[in-house]
Amino acid sequence: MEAKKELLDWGILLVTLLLILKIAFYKDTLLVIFRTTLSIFWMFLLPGYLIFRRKQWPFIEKIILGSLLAGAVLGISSYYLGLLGLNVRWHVWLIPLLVMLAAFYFSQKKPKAEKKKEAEGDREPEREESPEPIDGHRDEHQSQE
Amino acid sequence: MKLRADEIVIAVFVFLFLFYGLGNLWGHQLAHPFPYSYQASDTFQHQVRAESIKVMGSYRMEAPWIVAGYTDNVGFYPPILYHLGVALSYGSGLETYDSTYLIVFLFALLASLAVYVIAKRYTAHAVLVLPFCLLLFSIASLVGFTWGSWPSLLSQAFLLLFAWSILTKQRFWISAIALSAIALTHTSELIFVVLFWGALIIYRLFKKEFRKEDWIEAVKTGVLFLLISLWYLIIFYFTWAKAQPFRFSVVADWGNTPVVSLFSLGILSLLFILGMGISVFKKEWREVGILSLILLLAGFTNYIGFDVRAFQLRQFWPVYLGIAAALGLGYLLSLVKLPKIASSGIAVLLAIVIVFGAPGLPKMAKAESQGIMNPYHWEMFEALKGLPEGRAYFFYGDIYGQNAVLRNGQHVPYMVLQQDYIAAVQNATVKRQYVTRLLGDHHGVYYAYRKGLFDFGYRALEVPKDEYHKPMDLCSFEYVILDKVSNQPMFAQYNQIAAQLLLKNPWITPVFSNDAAMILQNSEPGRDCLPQEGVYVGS
Repeated sequence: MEAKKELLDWGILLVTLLLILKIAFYKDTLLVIFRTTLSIFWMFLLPGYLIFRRKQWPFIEKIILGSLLAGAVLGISSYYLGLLGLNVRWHVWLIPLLVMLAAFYFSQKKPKAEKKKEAEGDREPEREESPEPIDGHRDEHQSQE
Repeated sequence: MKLRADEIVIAVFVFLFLFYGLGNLWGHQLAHPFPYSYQASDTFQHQVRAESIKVMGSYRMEAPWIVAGYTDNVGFYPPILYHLGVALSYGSGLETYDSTYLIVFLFALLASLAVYVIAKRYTAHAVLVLPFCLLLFSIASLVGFTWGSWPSLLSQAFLLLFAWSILTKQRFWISAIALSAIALTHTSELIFVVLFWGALIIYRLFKKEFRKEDWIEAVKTGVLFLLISLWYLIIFYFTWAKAQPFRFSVVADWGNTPVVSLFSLGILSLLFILGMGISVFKKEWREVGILSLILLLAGFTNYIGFDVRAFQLRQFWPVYLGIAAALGLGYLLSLVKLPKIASSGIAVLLAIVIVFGAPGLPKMAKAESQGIMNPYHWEMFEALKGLPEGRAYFFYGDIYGQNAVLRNGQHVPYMVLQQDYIAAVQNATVKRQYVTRLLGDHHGVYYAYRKGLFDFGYRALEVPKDEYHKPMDLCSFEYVILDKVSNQPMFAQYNQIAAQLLLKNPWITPVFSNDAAMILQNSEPGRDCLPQEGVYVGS
């Protein structure tokens, strides 16, 4: 169920971004828009989302913060991999893939606190809640999560 | 699938940002045939460096055409912007001049959305922050993009990632990566990070909310940051920090560059002041208030010696101050007890007002601009790029004043000194020796090269002072580039006459020509191509 919802969210995001980019840059061909959108997804959105996948935050927040973080990781890694002799032409494919694999690996590992709870017999996994706004209004979105 | 109000507002904001902001500026095209909307030398500086990294495969060294022909100069500029630009270029198929520029806008967009996430922690009316972020396209902020403060703008997006990680007490590795990204994108922003982080720690200490675990996390953040950034920080120390040590320099303006001021935000700044004021009294808002306040005050540090760095920070004020303004407006809405959905409507309304303008309110500048480059000169640079190695001599051209543009030929650029050129035009003499500038990116770091891990040399300090600025023999250059058109017809005419004189020599041939410029190739550099005394071409 959760996977289906994730896929739906990704589908909506992809279509929305493609549409916005096609309208904003209507003089470009669909191929340019498509390649640019998919690159943005591959470089920032997907790896960023996977980094925060376990967090109980709204989908869009994982995308926003994760993309910034994925951009930082890509930029830093690309600089150092270049210095180590790996030509920059490969970085756009390699680094996001490695980030996604690492994020997936760590998301499968249970956090220490969770392990501890399980050892104590509590089977309910610990999830980090998105905080309630301090002014007291709980966001309708968050309450749906 | 139930669509949520915030997400609709975000989609509207992204559309307005891309359509009326970037789309307008770029002529509603992502892929351009030449660098588009480049309006100053610094923009070309960044574009050329990104392209050079793509050509060389890494940023170990500066490309010779960037650093006056030296082949041993260490890559000294903070590298992240360029690497992201190159990666996006490979992925999307866009040229680096489009992809690198796009990265800056893309991260400004993400930064705007990040402040929404930050504000959401404090108010249910967080979407109200988004319309204020559209003011990144107001005239004074927009010059940060079009005039080339790109690394600073990108660095400030990472600054917001760091601020979020600290405000929400994320794991240390997230803060450390954000901090390293700031250092490796535009190192000077670290000063503002230290101010914010320091102020927040002091506040939390005061409230007795900064415990032992927080100290441990802070130390771990610092250690990991150093480990990640150390290699570049060594380079930074021996280049920028050595060549441009901090000097107390009070400046009130930024030359011809428009500066963002509180007045330029119009009556919206009242909302900001309201938000700031309430955050003083409302203790739940104080931490985010500190963020806005520090970044507001940091924008005034030009008066206490931080020079133009403060002005670069101000270019992001619409985003920083937008948080406090959204808090202020959200507070007013909560007083009249409007439902939360009302803030979504008001956010969209405010965004539309900012896009289209209203009396007393700041608005987006929606001017499309091709910028300095044009298809004819770009064709010339592309042709020069394809020619065998050699030194390129540029006669006067209207666009060459922004001289980083000349690095696009990927040949070491020399340029006639404008005053000497004008004197020669006035004397109606095509000279053999003109006072010439050997151009390159050395003003910051004296063409630094590495002798050891902690041992750097400086080419510019090892040569005579006039090495980069002296009379030089026109006949000694492999390539001479002359413009055929100019806003001053006299200059274009002079260039054409000079070309005709040079072409009288059979070893000098035209290898490229279009309506705007021509490239002459000298296959025997050093051979007499003009009389020593020059040629009088007057009537």
